[in-house]
Amino acid sequence: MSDLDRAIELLKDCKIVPEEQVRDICLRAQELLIEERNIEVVDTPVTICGDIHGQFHDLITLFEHGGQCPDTNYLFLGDFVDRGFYSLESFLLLLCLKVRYPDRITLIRGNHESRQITTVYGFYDECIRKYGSANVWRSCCDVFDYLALGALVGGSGGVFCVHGGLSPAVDKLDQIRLIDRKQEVPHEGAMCDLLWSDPDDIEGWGVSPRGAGYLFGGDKVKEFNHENDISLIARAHQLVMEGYKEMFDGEIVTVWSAPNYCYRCGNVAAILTIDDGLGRTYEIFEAAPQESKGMPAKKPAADYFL
Amino acid sequence: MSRTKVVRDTDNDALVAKCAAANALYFTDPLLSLFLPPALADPPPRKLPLFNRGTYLRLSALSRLVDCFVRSGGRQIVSLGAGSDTRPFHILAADSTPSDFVYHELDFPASARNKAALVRAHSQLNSVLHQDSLVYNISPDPPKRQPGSLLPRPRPSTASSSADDRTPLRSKSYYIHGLDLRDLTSPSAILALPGLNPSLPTLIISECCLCYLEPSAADAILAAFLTTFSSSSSPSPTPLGIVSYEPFSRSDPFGKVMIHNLASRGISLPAMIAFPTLHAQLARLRSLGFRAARCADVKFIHDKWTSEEEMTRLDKLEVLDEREEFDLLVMHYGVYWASNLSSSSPSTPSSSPSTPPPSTPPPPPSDPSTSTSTSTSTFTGAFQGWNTFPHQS
Repeated sequence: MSDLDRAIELLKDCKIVPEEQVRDICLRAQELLIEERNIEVVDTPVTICGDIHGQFHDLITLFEHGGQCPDTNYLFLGDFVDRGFYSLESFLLLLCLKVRYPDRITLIRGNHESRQITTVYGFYDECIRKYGSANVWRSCCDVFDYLALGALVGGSGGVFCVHGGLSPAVDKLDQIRLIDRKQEVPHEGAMCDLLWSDPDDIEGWGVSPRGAGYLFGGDKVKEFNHENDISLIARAHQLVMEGYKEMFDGEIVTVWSAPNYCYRCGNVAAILTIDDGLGRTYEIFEAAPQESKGMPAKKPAADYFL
Repeated sequence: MSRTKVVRDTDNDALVAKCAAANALYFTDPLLSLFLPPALADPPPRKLPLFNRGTYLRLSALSRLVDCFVRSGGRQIVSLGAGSDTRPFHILAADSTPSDFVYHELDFPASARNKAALVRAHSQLNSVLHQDSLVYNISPDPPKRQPGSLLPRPRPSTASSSADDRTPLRSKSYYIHGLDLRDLTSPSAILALPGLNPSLPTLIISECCLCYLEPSAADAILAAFLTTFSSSSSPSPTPLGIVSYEPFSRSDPFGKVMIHNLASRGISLPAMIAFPTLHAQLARLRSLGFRAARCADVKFIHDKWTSEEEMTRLDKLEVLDEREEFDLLVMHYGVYWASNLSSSSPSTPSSSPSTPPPSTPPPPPSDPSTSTSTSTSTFTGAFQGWNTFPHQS
């Protein structure tokens, strides 16, 4: 068994791997990711997954529902880290699978794959807690900078995948292909918008309440899809209680893959499989009780106003 | 752990949340850190942006309703389950507060003694009280909460009547009463509280308190207050109001998970099951005899009570990602308020879609009564200002 396979087995048991090996995995991942284009081309069939946010046990449940990698071809839409208690194990497992089966799993960048956001929302603190230093956090952030910004599934007439949504600075996919992505997520501009924007029931563009990215209406979605010969935008970024939500005559969908988000929200999760005929199949799953899995139990320390 | 201890410990949750929001500059309250046990003070409390904003909204909503009462002829506050609340010190220190204002805090005996000891230990707290009328009665159990601080040795108690034992701090303007609220179910029990004056316009504050009691017990307490204040000055009752902040399940998945998660910490909130919505709480208040009952959930308060300038300030403090989660979280908390007087002026437009709310709500009471007269006629204004707050009822 290779070191990598051993690391995957360790991580699947929700155990952390030694710091030196994390560095090695991150460097090998970077070598792979640097070769990827800003918009990765992905073949069908593929199973598209939304935010994970460190909910490791639910990621394991996701694989039970969608099939194990490499049996199933996966595309993750970002936000692997922050909020949940196992950001490190979740991200490293996905990264190990990427290094081990590079053609069977695609990872694109979410707005939480950023130095600034992870220092506020938990990933940085988790690394310090588990390793006693920020080295592992730094290695992971270096990987974040190389993650693709989007993916195109199924060629012409296919599915454009992105974490957040559209940008007023982007009419054509080719404009995304020109971005120099190997940097921290900027505070504005096309790269920022792709990771931060949200669809909304408005016309045109609107100010995002998040303070980054834009709100975009159904007219913008239809223009973009028509211009770029795609039938669907698959994105994540927003909690959906029912796991997924199609909008604008089914031309955009939000996929959310963190069930009972933050161990508090009571939502179900979904994954979306695109078949060779570009047909869509949604699979819904719930947060499973962890005691039965022989893994460290997640501690439901969800915060409330008391 | 006993249920009482579990409920008392929730005060630390609230305190840590408030300190975290203050550390993130949502508001300033230099008194908060005096209450923070050393074990919780290092490292300084930190919470996520959405939680800090929720804490800020909780405090500011309660402050606006309470301050409105104080400015409009209110003379007495009875704060239930007060815990480490710093509100009495801020209110009693304010120039706009009438000099004869009285603030009562009611809590478990151990919590009451702890707080009295902290007030005695810190001049930042006790300097706002009338020194010549200030009496501590903290013995025989000196608090062990802050071993690092130099608490004066308890003085030998001169008087030890049972009433004194239950009131570890008394002064002209401020009382801390230690008792089990569930014993406060008759007018005679209320009138036995030292310093409580049933002829003063009074506000009951329940900040995450009554919801911990069985509804029948909470009903009995509120009914006893209503009776006490209606029989004291016939023919018209002494103004009595209530303002409360608490969680609501809304009978939805988030609410069910909240009940489950809190139960796993040993915390049960019977009110969340008996009154799943704010409107169910209003119906309960009306059935008890309260009038002019109004409510607003914290999402509504965030959207409708926050001025544009304030919203800009909040947005600059911290990046608030996870808007959907924020909305979901704070729509499960709410404030409701009511009094034993009918509202004599028309209420402001509600949230119904046909009547958009004012653009910079809520306007402060246009002409709050600043009279220091204690004649009953001015008392009726004590709750008038509340009519200007946008609400969902």
